[in-house]
Parts: sequence; structure tokens; C-alpha cells
Amino acid sequence: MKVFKQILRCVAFLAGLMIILTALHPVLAPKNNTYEAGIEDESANGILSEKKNTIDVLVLGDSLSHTAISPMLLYKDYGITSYLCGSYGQFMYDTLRYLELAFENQSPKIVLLETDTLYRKFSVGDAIASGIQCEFPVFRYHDRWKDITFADFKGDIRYTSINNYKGYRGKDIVKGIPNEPYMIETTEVESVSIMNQIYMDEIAEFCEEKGVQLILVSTPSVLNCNYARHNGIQEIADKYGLEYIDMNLMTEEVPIDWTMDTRDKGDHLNHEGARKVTNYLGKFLVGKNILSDHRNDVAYSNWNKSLDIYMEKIEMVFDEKIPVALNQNK
Amino acid sequence: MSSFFSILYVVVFLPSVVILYNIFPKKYRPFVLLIGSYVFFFSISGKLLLYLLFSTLSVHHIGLWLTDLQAERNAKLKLVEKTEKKELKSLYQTKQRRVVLFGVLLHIGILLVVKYTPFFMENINSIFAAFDVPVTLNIPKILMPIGISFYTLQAVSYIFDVYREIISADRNMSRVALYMGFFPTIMEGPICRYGETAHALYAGERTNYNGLTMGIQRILYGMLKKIVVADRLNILIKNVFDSGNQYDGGIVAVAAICYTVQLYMEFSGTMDLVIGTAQIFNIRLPENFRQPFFSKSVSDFWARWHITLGTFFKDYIFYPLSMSKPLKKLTSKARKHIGNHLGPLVAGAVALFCVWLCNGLWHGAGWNYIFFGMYHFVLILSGNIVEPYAKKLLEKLHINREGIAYHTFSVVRTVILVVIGEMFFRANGLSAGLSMFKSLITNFSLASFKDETILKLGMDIEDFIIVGITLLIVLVISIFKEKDINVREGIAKRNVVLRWGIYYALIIFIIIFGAYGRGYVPVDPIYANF
Repeated sequence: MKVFKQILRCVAFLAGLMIILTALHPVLAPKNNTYEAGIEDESANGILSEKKNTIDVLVLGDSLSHTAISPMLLYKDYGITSYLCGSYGQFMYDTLRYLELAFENQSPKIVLLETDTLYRKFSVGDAIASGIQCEFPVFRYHDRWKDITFADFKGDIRYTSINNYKGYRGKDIVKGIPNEPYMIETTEVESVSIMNQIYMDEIAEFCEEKGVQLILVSTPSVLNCNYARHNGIQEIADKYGLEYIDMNLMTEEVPIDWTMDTRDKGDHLNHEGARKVTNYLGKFLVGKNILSDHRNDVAYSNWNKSLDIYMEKIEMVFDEKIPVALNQNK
Repeated sequence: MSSFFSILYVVVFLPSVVILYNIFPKKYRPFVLLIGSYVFFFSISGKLLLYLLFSTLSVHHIGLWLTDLQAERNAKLKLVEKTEKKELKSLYQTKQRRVVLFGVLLHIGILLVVKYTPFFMENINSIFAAFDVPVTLNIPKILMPIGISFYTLQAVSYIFDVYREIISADRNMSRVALYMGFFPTIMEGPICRYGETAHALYAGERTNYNGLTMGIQRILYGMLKKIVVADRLNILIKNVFDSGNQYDGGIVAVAAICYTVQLYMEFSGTMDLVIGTAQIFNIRLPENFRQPFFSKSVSDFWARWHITLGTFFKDYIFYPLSMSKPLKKLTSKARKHIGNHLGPLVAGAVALFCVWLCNGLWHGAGWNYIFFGMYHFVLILSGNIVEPYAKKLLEKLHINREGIAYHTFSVVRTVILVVIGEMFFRANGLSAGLSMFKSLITNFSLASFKDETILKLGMDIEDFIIVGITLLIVLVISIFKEKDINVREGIAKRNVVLRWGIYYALIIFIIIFGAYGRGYVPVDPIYANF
């Protein structure tokens, strides 16, 4: 009886702690999706400001995703509305979090997962930390205590930061390397770690439950891609019955010139490389016949405004070869 | 698992070991701790676990070897005449000494090779270069198993204690293994004595409610020190110490104070976590700190800071050397020539020099660590020398040594001396330390405070405020401890509303004001690298 009482006391204490942690969240949570308001990744979290159910394609992954795919070009040339929830050094637990976050307000028909994140290793501790942060976001945003005001206690949240590039973070810097074959065919397989497979399971299951088509995409990267990895991803694709596009093998459809189309010697693509990837991807997505062209849809007029800004600040500037970094998004 | 403060340790490893420990019957519980300890060690040092296993096997064997010699001696003593007993004892003492020498050389030898080879070879290369010898030795990269400096000293103390017949060698290998590798103590100590801890480690007592709550309470207090203060100070300390000669004396002084605070918060915070963890398993470990910043002298400080290391050096280096025949002779000669006060200090100085040389070297392979040891040697020795003269002077000046003013002066003086020592300790090499010290003396200025440069080094005003509040909490608790008032037990006796309120407040304080997550780099376990 005494032991039972002690266990009950422990449970009551922990329950009380959870209630306090949950109650603290509205106070410490960022009240807007801007850096100034304390949000973690303004670009990826820009999806929170998108009108409900307007995003048809969601892109997830690490920096290879948000440097290789330009959603505004997909819109301009194919009328596809997409958003890039890719972030620097994204781990699979982040990928799952962004996927779930995106579906809170959107109902994409296709989810593209850039596969480099599948080879990003992390520890069990990192995964647990991420899980705790998801359950109790106070752990993620605890440091906001420095900026807290009385308004924070009201808990009103308004996401107003529209990202006009829809998560794209291109650069027009050219730091090329010679065009040499890097996808040398082999039967070797670089397996995906168990931790990444666990999250892949969850992502695949989530998409299946939502009735969404999940497609694995490897964008071109000399430093991060090789045939053994291609084989590893192919195994994953086969296991879940997913479509897999490896653009590293599509030298005709995605004709990357490594002397000109990379910004950091074969690690990431520059804007010219991204144009080529996006152009192929647009055709591929249109071929799916499940996406609508929203260019003349009044409900998507905001996208046309964003397109004007994008054209003015990116396409035109880059065409004139004015070197600018594209971190500012407005 | 990178440290005791990692999520994996706190959320998965420790609770799993506690649950498994209590699920298993009493006789298997020590094995749960032992397997848990090896899992913990392996998760940090991988295959280097072999070093620990080898040390455990060898120390176990050497202990038995000594005990067997002692048993053999005792059996023979019963059979021989009184006149032959002395000779027999001497014979066996020589034999035992050889075994001890072998055991100590073996363990200290491994430590020397693993930890000091690069340092020695770098210095040999410097000597070659100075004499234009066209030879450069390749400096090998030797991986160091976690906690080798700690478990090696435990091994040495075990051998000595068996030799001195303070303890009997343990025939139970797993008990010796647990003593050597118990996971909470493996990274940063405390350096335990076999006679004090081994049997409690092996007793397998079930976790009780009081031990659990008091243990968790102590762990939380450790987290407060480490996560809120030590980790928050990390960026500023790194920025200043990485380019110490760029800053004026004001900033150097702040960084030196911050580092001393960080070192204390990190090490004593870890000790709180270690002792709290052991408490959950119903094991009492020795304390490593006793309010060191209330010390009135440097020697007093070292009797309160890293206590188990200090007592190790005292018991296994200082006293044996002081009591050795050559130093006894030196003492009696010195007494005749320079009197009763200074005479014994000569032999004491030799022993003290050895202690502080070992202390400096134990902390790391570098000239700044040797300087750190010698700095304290000089301070403590000069303190011993001037003590009677200072006493007379104060009497003449009618200054009450027990008065609050002199007490405060002594404490402040000690803190300043300690802070300067720690500055050399943290500096990136001896020349960097000397350059910072020069800046402290010749370029002291408060301009960085006026133009707020101090707030651009990784800590803003809010950070300083939080550090200040937390230090105030620690100070109040330390004052109570100094007065022998146990705050933790005091809280535990309060009614549930107040008690839980305090616990919740502490946990929330750590969660909100902890320096973790985006933008922070937690300080590595500082002492684990020594």
C-alpha cells in the first residue's frame, strides 16, 4: 500500500509538471513566423502563412532541396503551387515534423522528399530530444524569455510572414568543377541507417493515411550522391512501393553543367542548376495529371503578387548576373 | 551519450538502469550496475573499454598477489623464532614493495603513454629545433579512454591500501570491476576509496522512495549549475580566451572570473548529478566540494575543492614522501640550521613540490598546467613560511584574525589568487596565459563596460542577470551548508504544496533559463578531459 501511494505521488507530480509545461507553451511560443518573433526557420515555416489548402506539392529535405527547386518557377511555367519546407541540415525527425506541420493547414496532393536527408546521421538522443520538443514546444522556444512582453500572455498567434520565394534559397554564385562522371555503376548498396528508416516508416505511413503520393527525389550533387546511395534509396523506394527519381542519372533530362551550375564545387546547385531541375520537375509533375494549373485562378492572386516580386528580385537580377544572396525573402 | 547531461542519459539510460536494477533480485543488481557501466563507457569510448578491462584485471590480480604474500608472511611468522621475525618481515616488505612498484608503474605507465606521449614528443622536437638537430619525431595520435585519469588513481589507491593492509584484496572480480568502472563516477570522479565504497556498490540495496526523491533533487541542483550557468558562460569564455591578447584587462578579468565560476558550476554540478545518481541506488559517495569560495587561504581552498583528489595526493604522495627516511633526515638537519619553524618546511616543501607537480600534470599535458601546479605550490609554501610572521604582525597592528573584516579580506584575497590561477589553467598555452596576465596588470580598463563591448562577446545583459540570480541561489544554499543547515532535508520536511512548488519552480527555471538548444554550445565535461 505504501509503495502504491509512492508511485501514485510520482505519477501525480509528473502529471502536474506536464500540465505546467503545456500551459507555458502559449506564453513562450512565437506569435508570428518571423525571426524577430523567435521562429526557428522563417523560410520553412513560411508555409504557416499560406492560405488554407492552396499548396499542391510539398517539398521536404535538407539544403539540397531548397537550393535545387524553385516553387515560383514551377508556378510561373506550370501553374503548380508548391512549398519548400526544406531546411539546412534537416534530419529525418525534422522532416516528419515539417510534414505534420504542413498538413495542419494544407492538403498537398504530392510530397517530394529530397533523399540526401536519408543519409544524415543522428543519434537516438537527438531523436528523443526532437520528440520531447514536439510534445512540449516550450523546450524548443524556451529562450524566448528574453523577448517576452505582456502581449505574450494573451497567447494570440498570427502568422503574417509570406515567403515570396516559397522556401527557395537560391544563389547565382558559380564555383564550378570539371564535368567528370560521379555516378559509377555498382552493385554496392549504402544502406540507410536504422534511425532514418524508422522515420521513413513514419513518413510513408503518414502519407499513405492522408492519401498523398510520396515521391523520393535525388537532386544533382557530386559531393553527396553516388551509385551506392542510389541503390540504397532504390531499396527504400521498392520497400514502400514509392516512385524514385534520381536526377544524378538523368544527364539528358537534367543537363547539369558542373563547370557552371554549382555554387560550391559540386555540393549544391546554383540558380541556373535549380532552373534545370525545376524545369524537369515541372514536366514530371504535370505528367501526373493530378495537379491543377492555378495561374488564372482568382483564389491564387497572391501567388501572382509573389511571382512579380520573385521575378523582380531573382530572375531578372540573376539574368543580369548581379551577384546577390537570396536570403531576404520580401 | 556524450555526457551525464545528454538527453539520452537523463531520459533513457539512467531510468532504464534504475528500473532494471530494481526489477532484478538483490544478488544480480550489482551486475546490472556493472553491465550498465560498461554500456555507458562503450557508448563514449567504444573499444577503448579494453583499457578499463585490462586495468580491472591487473589491479584485481595485483591485490591478490599482495594478499597472498601477506598471508604467506603471517604463516611463516608463526613458525619462526622472535629474533628472525624482523628479518622475515623486512624480506616480505621488500617483496611486497616490488609488487606495488610493478602495479603502480603499470597503471601510471599506461596513463603516461596515453595522455602524455604527444606532450613529451612535442617538447623533444622543440629541444631538437633549438639545437638545430635535423630530426623531427612524428607525434602519434593516441585515443584516450574516458575517465582514465580517475580510474587509474582508484587502481593505485587500491594497490596501496592492500599493501598497507587497510583493506584485504577482494577475490570477487566483479566487485573490483564495479569499483573501477561504476558509471556515475567514471567520467569526473569522485575518486573513491575501495574501503569506503566497494561494498555499498555491491550491496544491491533496492531503491527507496527517500533515496529516489533526494537523489533526483540533487540531480536537479546539479543541472541548475551546469545548464543555466556553466553552459551560458561558455560562449563568452571561449571568445575571450581564444584571442585573449585582443582584449583589455577589464574583459580579461571578467573572463577569468567567468571561467572560475564555470569550472566550479560544471564540476560541482556534475558531482551533484553523480552523487544524486548514486543516492538513487542507495550508495553514498564521498563529497568533492565543501563551499570552496568561502576559503580563507589557498591551502584551505584546496582542502575544499576536488577533495578526493587532494586527499589522494595527501595520502599517497605527501605523507609517504614526508615520512620517508631521506626527508626525515633532511628535516632533522634543517631544524638544526634554520630553526624549528623553517626546518620542517624544507622537507615539506619537497613533498609539496611533488604533490603540485603531479597535480598540475594530472590536469593535463601542457606547460600551463605545470605552471598552474607550481603557482599553487609557491602560494601554499609561502603561506606556510610567512604564517608565524603574519600572525605577529597582525597582533602588533591589533587586527583581529577572527573578525569579520579580516575574514572577508582573506576570502576575497583567496578568490583573487584562485581566479588568476584558473586563468592560466584555461589559457590556450602558457604564453597566452602570460599575455592575458600582462593585459590584466598593464592594460586594465573599464572602457569595455562603458561602451558595452562586454555585452558583445556572447552574453547580453539578460544572460548576466540570469547567471547572477542563479549564483545568488547557489550562494544562499552554500551559506546554509557552511552553517551545517541541510536545505534539501529542510525542503523535504515541508508540506506537499510548498515542497512541490519549490521542485516545480526549480524544474521550470532550468527548462526556461537553461542554455541549451539553438544558439548554444554546451560546455564539454571539463574534468572528464583531464
